[in-house]
Formats: sequence, C-alpha cells, structure tokens
Amino acid sequence: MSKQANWQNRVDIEVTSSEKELAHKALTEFQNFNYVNALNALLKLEELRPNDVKVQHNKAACEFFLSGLTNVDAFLKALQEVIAQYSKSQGPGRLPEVPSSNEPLIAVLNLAVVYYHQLKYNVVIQLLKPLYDAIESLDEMVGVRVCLLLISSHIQISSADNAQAVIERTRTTFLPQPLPSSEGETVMSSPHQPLAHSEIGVAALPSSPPGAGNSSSAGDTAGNFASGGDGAEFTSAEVGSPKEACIDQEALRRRLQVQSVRTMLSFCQPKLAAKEMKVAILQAVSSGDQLQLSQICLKSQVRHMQCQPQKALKVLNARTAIPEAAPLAHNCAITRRDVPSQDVWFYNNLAVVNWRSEKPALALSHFDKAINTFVKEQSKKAADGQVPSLYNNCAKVNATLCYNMGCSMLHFNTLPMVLAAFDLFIETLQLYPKNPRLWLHLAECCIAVHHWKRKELEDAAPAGVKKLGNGMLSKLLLIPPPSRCSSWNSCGEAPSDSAFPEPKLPFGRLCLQNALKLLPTSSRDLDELEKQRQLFPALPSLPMRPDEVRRVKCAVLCCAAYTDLCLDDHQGALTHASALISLVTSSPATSSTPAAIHFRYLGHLYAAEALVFMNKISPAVKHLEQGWSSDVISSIYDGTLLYDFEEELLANSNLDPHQLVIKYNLSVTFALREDFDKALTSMKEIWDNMRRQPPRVVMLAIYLNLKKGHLEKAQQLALEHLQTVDPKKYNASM
Amino acid sequence: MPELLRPPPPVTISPDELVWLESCHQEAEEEICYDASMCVTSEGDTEARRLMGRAFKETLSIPQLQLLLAHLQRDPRLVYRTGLTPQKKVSGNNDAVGPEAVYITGLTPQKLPVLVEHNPLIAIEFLLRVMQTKQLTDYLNVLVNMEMSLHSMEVVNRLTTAVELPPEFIHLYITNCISTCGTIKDRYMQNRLVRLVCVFLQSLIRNKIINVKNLCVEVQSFCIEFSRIREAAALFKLIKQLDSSESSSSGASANPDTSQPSVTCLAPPTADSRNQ
Repeated sequence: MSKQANWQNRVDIEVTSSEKELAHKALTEFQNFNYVNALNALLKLEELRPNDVKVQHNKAACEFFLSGLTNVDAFLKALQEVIAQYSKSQGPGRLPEVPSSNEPLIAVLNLAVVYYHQLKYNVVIQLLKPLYDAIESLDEMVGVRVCLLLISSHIQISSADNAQAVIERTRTTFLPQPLPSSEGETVMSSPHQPLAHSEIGVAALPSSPPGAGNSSSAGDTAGNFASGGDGAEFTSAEVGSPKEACIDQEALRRRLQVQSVRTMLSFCQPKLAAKEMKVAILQAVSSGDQLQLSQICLKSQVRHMQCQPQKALKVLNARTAIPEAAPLAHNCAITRRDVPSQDVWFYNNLAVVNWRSEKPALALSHFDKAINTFVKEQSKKAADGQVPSLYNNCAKVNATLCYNMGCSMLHFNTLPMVLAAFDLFIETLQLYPKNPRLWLHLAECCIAVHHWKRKELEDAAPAGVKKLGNGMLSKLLLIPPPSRCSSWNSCGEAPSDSAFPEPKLPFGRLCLQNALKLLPTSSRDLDELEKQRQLFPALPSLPMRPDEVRRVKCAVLCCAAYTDLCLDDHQGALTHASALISLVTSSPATSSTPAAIHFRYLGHLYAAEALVFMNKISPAVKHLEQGWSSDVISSIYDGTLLYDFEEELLANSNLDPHQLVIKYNLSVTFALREDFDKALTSMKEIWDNMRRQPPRVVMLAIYLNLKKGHLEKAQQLALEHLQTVDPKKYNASM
Repeated sequence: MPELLRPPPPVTISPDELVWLESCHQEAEEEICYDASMCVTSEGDTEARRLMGRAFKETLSIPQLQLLLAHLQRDPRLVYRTGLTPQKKVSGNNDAVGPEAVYITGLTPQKLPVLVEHNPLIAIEFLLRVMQTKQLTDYLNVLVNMEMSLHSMEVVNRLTTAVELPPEFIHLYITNCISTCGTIKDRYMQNRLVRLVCVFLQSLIRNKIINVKNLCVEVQSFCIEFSRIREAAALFKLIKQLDSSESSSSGASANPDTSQPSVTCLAPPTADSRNQ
C-alpha cells in the first residue's frame, strides 16, 4: 500500500479511548517538563498507532527535549521524514509543498524554528512562504506563529519592507473587525425579513426552503430539530457555543507593535521607531506587564538611534530594576535562552553608545569587558560539560562582539591593535561573508600592518649622512631612507598565497576585490539606489544608506589603488584611481563633502604615481595639479586617521599637509622630467613653509642641487639638516 | 632618485556601524512546539465537510441546514477547512493544468451559483466570512452576473444589509436585474421577476443602501415600462415621494418636477395585474 493510502487510512482510523488517554497523558507530562514520562506514553501510543505521523513527530520532539535541545541533526532528520510522508515532493533536498491538510504543519513550523536558530533566515522564509500564502486557512495558533517567525526572519536579514507587509497582513487576518454575525445576530435569527415572504406573499412564489422563511423565529433553534433520518451525527444543540479565538489577541497586538518598532529601526527611521515605541509602552503599561529586558533593550536602542546618548544610557542602566528570574529546574532550564547574558548585552550596548558619543577609548574598554565576560561564561559552560543547545547558539553573539571590537581597535590604528582587529574580522567573516564593509576593514588592516612594518624598517635605518675621511679627500656619504621598490617584499615578508588570510597586501587585494563585487558595480546603479532611497544590507550592522554605500565604494577604490601601487601593479592602480575620481565627481550632491574631497585628492595622487611609473610624466603632472584645490584644505574629516608623516607635516609647517604632499610630488615629478628649475621652485615653497624639514625633503633638496651643479649648497644642506649615522648599521641591500 | 610620497588611505568607521546586541529574551514563536492535536478528532470538521459536499448537490433539509450553519458560526474559520474556500496552487510543477487550477479544492466562484440556488443561507454565511479576503471580488463578479432569481436576490439583499458592498457592484446588479426583466419572454415569469425586483429596490431604498438619485432615470423607466404591476407603481410612488421631499427641503421651485422628465400618469391597470 502506498504511503498516501496509508495516510488516508490513518485519518479515517478512529481514535480509541485508551489512545486518547495516552495522548492526553503525554501532553500533560510534556507540559510539566516530564519528558521521560511523556516519551514513555508516546512509545506506548506508537505501538497502537504505528503510522500516525503526529505521534512520530511528538516522539521526536520529546527525544529532542530529552537531549537538552542538543541533538539537532537527529531532530531535523525526524522532522523531514514526517513532512516527506505528506509532501508531494520527490527526492531529498526539496522543500516540502504545503500539505493538503493541517496535520503536518507543526512539523513544518518546528523545522522553520530550527533553521531560525541556525541563522538560516532565507531558508526559513522560503519554507514558510507557502504557509503564509494560505494563512487564512491555517489554524490560528499556527498562523500567528508563522507570521511572527516570518517577521523576525525578515528583520534579521534587513528586509524591512517585507517585514512591514507581514505585520500589516497579520493585523488584518488575526485582529479583524468583528464580522456581522458575531454581533449576536445569526443568519438564522436575523430580524431582517427575507423578501419573499414579507412583501409579496408566500402563495404566489415557488416554494423556498422552509428554513429561510422561518428565520425570524429561529431564536429557539436549539434542540428543536431531531437528528435522525439524514445521517447527521450531531444536532445543532450539540455543536456547542461559539468557538473562542485560541490566541490572545491583546498579546498579539502588543507583539506586533514591538515588531513594528524593530522594523522601523531596520528602516533606519528612528523618529518613526520612537512613535511606535510610545504606543508599545502604553500597551505594555495598560496590560500590566512586568518590566522586561527586551523592552529596555528596544527603548535604549531607539534612544541611541535618535542620537540621545544620555537617555540611552539612562534606559540601559534601568536593567537593575528588572526582577531576577527565578531559578528553574534542569528540565525547564533547557528551554530558556541565556545567550547573550545580561552583562555581555549591557557592556556591548554601553560601548556602542559611547562610540557614537565619540568616546572611542571608553567604548574600547567596554567592548573588552563584554568579550571577556562572554569568553569566561562560555569557558565555564564548557568546563561544566554543557553542550550549547539549539536556543543558545553563540555564533551570532560571537560574531557581533568580534566585529564591534575589531572596528574599535582598527580605529586606534597601532600595529598591535590592527593585528588583533584583523583576527577579529576573520572571525566575523565566517558568519557574514557578504558585508562589503567587513572586507574593506580587512584590507585596511593589511594596509595598516604594511605601513607600520615599513615604518619600523625606516626607524631602524633612518636617512642621514656620514662624513668619511678628512681634509681634501673627505667625502660625504648620503644614506637615503629605505626604498619602496618591491615594497611589500621589503618588509621581510615572504610571498605567500594571497588567499591565505593573513594581514599582508596580497590578501588585502583579494579582500578589496570581494568588496567591489558586493557593491553596486556602476555609477548608474548607485544613482538608482540614491533615487529610490533604498537601503543596502550590511549585516551584522544596520543597512547602509545610499550615501554611505558611495563612501564605502570610494574607500574601497582608494585602498585598491594604494594596494596596487604597493604591489607594483601600476595599470591596476591607475584604473582604480581613475574610477575613484570619476565616482567622486559624478554626484554633485555628495562631491563637496570632506570625505569626497579627500578621496579625490588621494585619487589624483595615486593616479599620478601610477603614471610616473608608466613613464607618462606629463599626464602625471596634470593629475597632481588637479589634485590640489583650495577646498582640500581642512578636508580631514571626522573619522580620518592621519598616518604619521602627515601628522609630522601638520606639526612642522604653515601649509596644509595635503598641499605639502602635492608640492613634494610635483617637485619629484618635475625632476623626473629633468625640469629641475620647476622642481626647485616647488621645493622652495615647501622649504620656506616648514619649521623643520623631514629627511625626505632634505634629500630631495640635495638631489636637485646636485643636478643643478650646486655642490656646495648640497653639502651644506646635508651637514646642516641630516643626522650623522653609522653606515655599518645598514645592510648591503639598502 | 627620490620617491613620490604615497599617503595611505584613511581608516574610517561609520558612527552607526557598530552593532547593537539584542537581549536573550525568547518569544513563543521561536520555540519548538508540541502537536497538541494528536489523537484529537475534529468530528465537527468532518461532519461539516460532509454536509458541504451535499449542499452543492441538493437542498439540505432543515436539520442539516441548521447543523451546518451552527458549525460555521461556532468556528468562523471553518469555511477555510470545509472546502468552501479555494487554496492556492503552491507549486508550479504542473504546467498542464489551466488557470482554474489556482483553486485546488472547494468552492470556485463558478460553483457559487449552484450553492446560491440550492442553499442560499449557506451562500450568505460563506460570503460574509470571506468579506475581508481578496477573493471576495471574484465571488461578487459571479453573483452579479448569475441568472436572476429569488435566491440570488435574497443573497444580495442580505449582504447589503450586513456589510458595506462596493456601490458599483450594487448598481451593476440592479442594472442587470432591470435588463433581465426586459428580456424575459414568458409573461408570468416576467411579472414575477419584476415584482421581486421592485420589492428588492424598495428594500434598498428604505434601508438607504442606495441613493436613488444615482439610478433615478433607469429605475423610473423600469417602473413606467411595468407600470401595470402594482409593485412597480408603488416603487415609482416611493421614488417620487423621496424626490419631492428632497426638493422641498432644499428650497426648490414650486414645481418639484422641473428637473425630472414629467410623467402625467401611470398606465391603466390591465387584467393581468388585477389578477395578481
């Protein structure tokens, strides 16, 4: 007999009283957390009803609870088997279609819950979509759960539009206006007289069903009609009173209101979120609910997004007012989620608020506390032999903490911090590989590590001069700073496979390629994004606004041009630098922001250098001249970290450091073109505006004077402005 | 040879980039649930399904009707489980099936007329339940175009008093009724239908479901055409009364009928109308 026929037989098999008793017993024991007893009852029931899939489902659920919600694979397999018996799908791996009856829906729902906790939100949405499409035909309890789980899943993947649509439909379907017949009138007892009998007269018309005519006297229907003769098993009197809704509508209303708040936050609409939050709080207060951590969490997040750090901190600190949860017995405790703990949650969010308030050091210390607390808690659980249950999946919390800490450390931009940040970002990448900002930060780590290591080399071998010999035969030995040729190799780094995650430039280049693939490819796509005001997903963070997407893309192109230059890929550098300049200038609305001006300046600088290496000096000069404009002054925007030599230039000159860099590069470029007069003019402008000239500037001045034949001047510059060094410190390769 | 200066790109972390951590609070929908309907038979559903199957084929007896209505009123959502509403086609792997396949089971709009004729009360109950769904339009379209009868008019009449139907639906229905009256060849049937339509229209007017102004010309023409029938005359009189009371309340001229085509008198009663 086929499985379909088996099912038909199962449905038609009457349930005996002993089976009902066993089923009731199993349910009661399960509800009292006595899983062993529940399982025993289910095993007995299975003997009596071997083909009943509901028994199989509940048995699997019981076994899962008995395992402490840890044996996820076995539970998943059992659920899929139960569903497959009803599904028309063929072969493994295909998601089941909606069954033709309500029976396996709890199994589908539980499958979705498992995937939800495994952070497979897209799978959950796909799985629940057929149920959602037929939501009116579902049992209320199941329907509400489907909707709420869908809303949460959409919010998790930053699909706020879809979340909002599901919220509205849930309200319409499960919190409807009262239907006409629910006002006490029934069709049978309506006072409204049917047309046929009141206005026209019965005799003139063909007979209509007596029931229609007697509707006005239908108030005493109950018990007036015998049941026999038609095969009806029941009388209308036995049908019973109107079935009450099996969901708490007020609780559902409050829940939907909270989801509205979360959706507005996903939309990055703090004002609307605050409005919805107000309603949610009123509802909670009027229902007499106890203060919950989730309410504090949401309210403080709304305040934070409204840029009200003081209020956000006040709400966060209100966590002390929450009554402590009573300790539960082991059987009950497994059903409770305790990740993240209150302390981890608190320190992380406190740090986020401090970060937004421009207190990065304080933020870093709180992130540190959050991570240490989290690690301690997990270590303790592992030491106690606890296996993480389905509800306590730590992956998401772990990734979030790593990301936050990584960003915080990268901000400080010192070698140890950047190395640690890199490892943290790699940890986050395992869960969120589609975040272009994450790839960008990895590349920034690689660039920073490269820069600091190179600086270490330069500090170990500073530029200087050594006087050799005496008298007439004395010579001055000039020791230049370490060359950047094959610079990525000059830091003592052996070439390695770029796909291997390590904080080196080849891996950085791979990260930037990935970032570019994830971002909108063309300028037109970006314009479209801005026109439609669409948000761009950037998990685990909130989605990015269009202007932020543009900024990130500029940053990626800038890093890509720099990395290509360092790796001697001059054509690649030129391509990226040109794309950067084009992107920055393409949007008039955003091209005058400090960030855009800074990126334009760097774009011209990198393009010029690439052209110099490609022996195209005149176009390089043009780029340098374009790179400088008066608005570049003070284009150092919030969040930009100056590297060391820019800070040095800033400290020692009267001119803007960007202007100095441009003039220096112009001077070098003119020198390459053997236009030494122009080169000297540029050099003089730099020289006259600096209180203390760095070694590079002095070396350039010496070089130019030598080229012009001004030997004495060159010697004077060397002796006056270069430090005396011991050449034995330098190895032959330099 | 001096080298060009190459400042590294800046490191920027957006102010709102860092991630807010949600609390560990878990909602009910995020928990594994136990199927409490195991070994619970829903006899009511089975019985309702059985009766529903019969309702399409024949007129139910009073006890059966009462029973089915009681089931539907006890559990309003039963309409979705007894084959009364269609379920959507959920997979696209059966391309050979036509558009009607979107309704896999149950009552397609095309089957509504059958239900209306056999068991109008069930049809009324069903339409009241699906009032808030998107499928209502399909059913109303069928209702308005089905053959006029006492039962279909009863259904529409009950719907108009229970819920607010789209005005265009009601107008279209009235127009169809009026035009159907004009096309019936059999005199007896025609008279019967005209009387029904007149009573129906009077009911709509008295209950203020329709504004007679919107259909004044059409209804007046109908009344004049069938002026030999008592109910048509009564309807005409009602329309005139309403019209004149409105004119006097709005301070119209002494002749309240100047805006309407004047009608001097009804047609003299004929032998047919006297006999009815």
